[in-house]
Amino acid sequence: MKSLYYLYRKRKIVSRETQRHEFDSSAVGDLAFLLLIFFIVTSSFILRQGIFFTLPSKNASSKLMREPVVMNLYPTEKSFILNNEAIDRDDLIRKLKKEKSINKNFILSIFMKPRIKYERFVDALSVSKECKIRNVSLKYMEEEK
Amino acid sequence: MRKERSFLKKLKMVSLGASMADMALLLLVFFMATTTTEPPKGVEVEVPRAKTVGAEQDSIYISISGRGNYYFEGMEVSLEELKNRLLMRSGERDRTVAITADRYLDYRVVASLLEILQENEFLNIVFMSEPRDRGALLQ
Repeated sequence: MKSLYYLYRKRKIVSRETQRHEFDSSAVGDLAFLLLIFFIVTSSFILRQGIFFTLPSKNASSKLMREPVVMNLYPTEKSFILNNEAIDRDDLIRKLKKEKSINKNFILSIFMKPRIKYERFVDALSVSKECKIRNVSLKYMEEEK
Repeated sequence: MRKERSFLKKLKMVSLGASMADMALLLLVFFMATTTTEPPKGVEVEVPRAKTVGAEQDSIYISISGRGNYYFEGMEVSLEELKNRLLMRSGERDRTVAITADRYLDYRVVASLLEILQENEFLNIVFMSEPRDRGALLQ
């Protein structure tokens, strides 16, 4: 009888001890859920994408290049003029890729007129990126008076 | 019958609180890592399409509306004001300047902005654009 009582007491003590060492995670869970809801509500999955371009410094020196190394590109409203020849986008990509395979360091010089739409400029830059042309020169042509 | 009862007696009540908290924390970390905050545009514009790469979050945002109005970090400013604001932030020249301009805008409006940026030595530019899809590429 005594031993049974002893066992009962012992179990009670053990269970009390285990209760004492338990970590109540419900508060952490609540907090996590609260922050989770905040992030779900405030987050936006809009992908910010664009074309990177590095402008030359105003103190940069100019360098005279040999003529065959430079290709002059004039974006127009619907097509491109490359070395005085009007071509569409696909032809331009083809020609630039061909030129790139011959001369890796050639320079694409983009001549922009003031009235040309901005999307044409971005398209010209996009073409240069698609052809992996590293050296792009940008020339702004003033309006003819 | 006896066996069944003894088996049911052995079953314990299981609390799912801890595992729920774990899940919540996991999702929280995911959302914290992947969320991007909306950039201060100031005006809604239709950006051009191009072959793009992911732009940095920590940029200086300049928008140009279809009417040619300039917005610096979401605030409408004149070109002179924009120049002054860039001058004030000359310590942040290494940061990328994200230009969000309307696709149908005349290039001269963007050119004058580029001129100011170059004058103030903000040389890292990103022209915000929509990614050009494969279908559009084949057109």
